[in-house]
Amino acid sequence: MNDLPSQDRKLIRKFMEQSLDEKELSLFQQKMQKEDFAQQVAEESVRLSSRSKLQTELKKIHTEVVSSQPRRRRRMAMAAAFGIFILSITLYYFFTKEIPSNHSEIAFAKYFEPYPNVFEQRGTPGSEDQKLRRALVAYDRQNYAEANLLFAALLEKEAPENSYTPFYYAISLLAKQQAEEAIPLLEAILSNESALLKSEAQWYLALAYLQINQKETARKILLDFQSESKGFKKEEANLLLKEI
Amino acid sequence: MKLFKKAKKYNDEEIISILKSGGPQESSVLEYLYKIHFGSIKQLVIKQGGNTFEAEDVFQETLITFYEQVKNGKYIRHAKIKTYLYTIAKNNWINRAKRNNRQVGLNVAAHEGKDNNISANEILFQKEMMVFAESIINELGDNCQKILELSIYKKVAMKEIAEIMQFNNAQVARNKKYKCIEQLKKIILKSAEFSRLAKELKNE
Repeated sequence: MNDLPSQDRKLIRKFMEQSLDEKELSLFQQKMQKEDFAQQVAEESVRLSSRSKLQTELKKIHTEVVSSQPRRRRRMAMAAAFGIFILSITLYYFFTKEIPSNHSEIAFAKYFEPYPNVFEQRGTPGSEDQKLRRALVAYDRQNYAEANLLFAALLEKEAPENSYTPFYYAISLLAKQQAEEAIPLLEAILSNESALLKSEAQWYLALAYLQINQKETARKILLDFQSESKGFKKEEANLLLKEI
Repeated sequence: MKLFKKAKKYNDEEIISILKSGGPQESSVLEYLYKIHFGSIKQLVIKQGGNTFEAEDVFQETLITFYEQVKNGKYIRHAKIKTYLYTIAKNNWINRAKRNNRQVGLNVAAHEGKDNNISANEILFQKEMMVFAESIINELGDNCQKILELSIYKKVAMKEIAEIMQFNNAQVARNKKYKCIEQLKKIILKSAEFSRLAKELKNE
């Protein structure tokens, strides 16, 4: 559109704004007989309409990514969290030292501990299970570099039937300070209806955001986690919320 | 495989390459950008006295600007996407805050002269223009809408459009695009004629 004279550009804009007067509308109709002008009006219409569609798509993504939790539930969770939070402050000062609020890394180091390997108890035998077992042996030995390679290969080869692979892979990545890679894996578990270890994944997701110093996001996840956790790390979540 | 796809992570080169080519992965890239960067932009807006809804608007405007700059070859890679988005968002927020006569803690003086002349009316006009343009485009058939969007807005190559739309080859796609543009011009002319008649009647 920049190729057109500025008068023509103004005319097109006013047409799109629907603010042309009668005289200008006649001029617009005349100009539409010219190939260049008509082409520009058509393309501008497509651009504006497509931008509108993109905006709608982004709003949809926003709803899916950010606002998946109903507001009411969030408010209730926050109210519950607030109560627990107040209670925990008192307990906290009796038992622990305060950590400076700007030290996310310290808080991460304090609260992070690899989740125990429960696959042997819950897993079902199968060819992929053998590979997962190998990865978990490395994980148990705290050989996270090797574990990461094995988990990555497992994920690349085929979709995991359950959420063990991405879950342990994410924790192994966190142990190697690779939170940015761990985050999408944990979020995928949380968005998977049938995934196991969802509550646990939420806890580690909060720690992952803490590792990259996104305290506000970590705090929001912890508040959700508190309202849903049935015991796992619930008390730690209270204390951590105070610290961040 | 669904789970793995959802967890896909993109680096800056991949993001630019996918957005430039306009392939089917675009949505997944936009979702990824949203997940990764919304938090920091929201923090920026809230820290400067904005609210969550304003943060949402600012971030979406930012992503659209970034998307269009990449598509139109105006994105020059001199910084990480994260930094680039942050800078656009900061400018967006300053413009918005100035429109609302709100105090912001950012260095406003440093941004003087950079797109700061956007008025509140301009935002309204932009929205109205988009609604009007959509009403025109919606008069086209679905196929025409898709071809024109892919070709003009998303800058997808004709060969790929042919594949997406299941045409025999790029030439068929080109012919279809030409016909759609001609159809669109007629719709625009009809709309202008309708507006003129309506104004005539009003003045009588």
